[in-house]
Amino acid sequence: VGAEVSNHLKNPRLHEKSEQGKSCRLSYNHHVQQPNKKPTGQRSTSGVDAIINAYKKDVDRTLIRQNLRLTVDERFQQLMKLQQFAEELRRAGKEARSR
Amino acid sequence: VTDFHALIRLLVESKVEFIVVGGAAATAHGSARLTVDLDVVYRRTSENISRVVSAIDPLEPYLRGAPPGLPFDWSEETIRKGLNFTLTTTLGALDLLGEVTGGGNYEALLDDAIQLRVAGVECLCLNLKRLIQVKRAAGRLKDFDAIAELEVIEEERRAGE
Repeated sequence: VGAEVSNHLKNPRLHEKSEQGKSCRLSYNHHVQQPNKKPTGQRSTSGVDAIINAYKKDVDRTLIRQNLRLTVDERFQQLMKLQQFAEELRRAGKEARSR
Repeated sequence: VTDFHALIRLLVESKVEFIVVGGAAATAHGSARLTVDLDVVYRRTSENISRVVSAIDPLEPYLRGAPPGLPFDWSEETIRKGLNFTLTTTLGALDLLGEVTGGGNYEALLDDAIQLRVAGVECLCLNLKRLIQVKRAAGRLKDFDAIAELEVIEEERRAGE
């Protein structure tokens, strides 16, 4: 499923449709689910679920468990630290490119 | 860097009626993903619009991504005529949303909001189940991995109960 999802995410027609404001779910199913010839409603749900399930395999559950042990305040503090770090990396990258 | 604590505290202390949604709501629920803006759905009553304008005014709000120097009038009339505003402020990026794709307006989301204690104040935040529903309904490709993470959070919470 992962490779199939990856290929279809790269499909320019999919992005085209997305940018036009049409449902990504429908356009995804247009490309992925049509061969199955299932009713449209079923295709929509199973198509999106397939993508989400493929992504789920890569979610770091240890990180989630660690976050769930924090308070809400601590989660936001961690987010702000991460933002600062990302900003610092961006600045360093820019500096390196200008050398 | 967005000061989530300060922005939330400011909105609450200014008695703005709002619900935290989007990436910040995901963070509150335990997401490890980086988000750079605070997304809130604000109530579009004239009293609340007035409170939003007064609260944000000292933060020098400006449209994010707009070229500098454009005339931008931060006023109740501007808010009334528009709906969703993606702003830069002195406290960071703030998205003021009258409606959210797949979820509707403040009233439509209110039943699925939970009380959140953050930055020493209480505010409303969209619950995890509805947050997933909203992101699924929006059907944006960029949200798919975020939805996956939120569903894993839901599973982990259930497992921990």
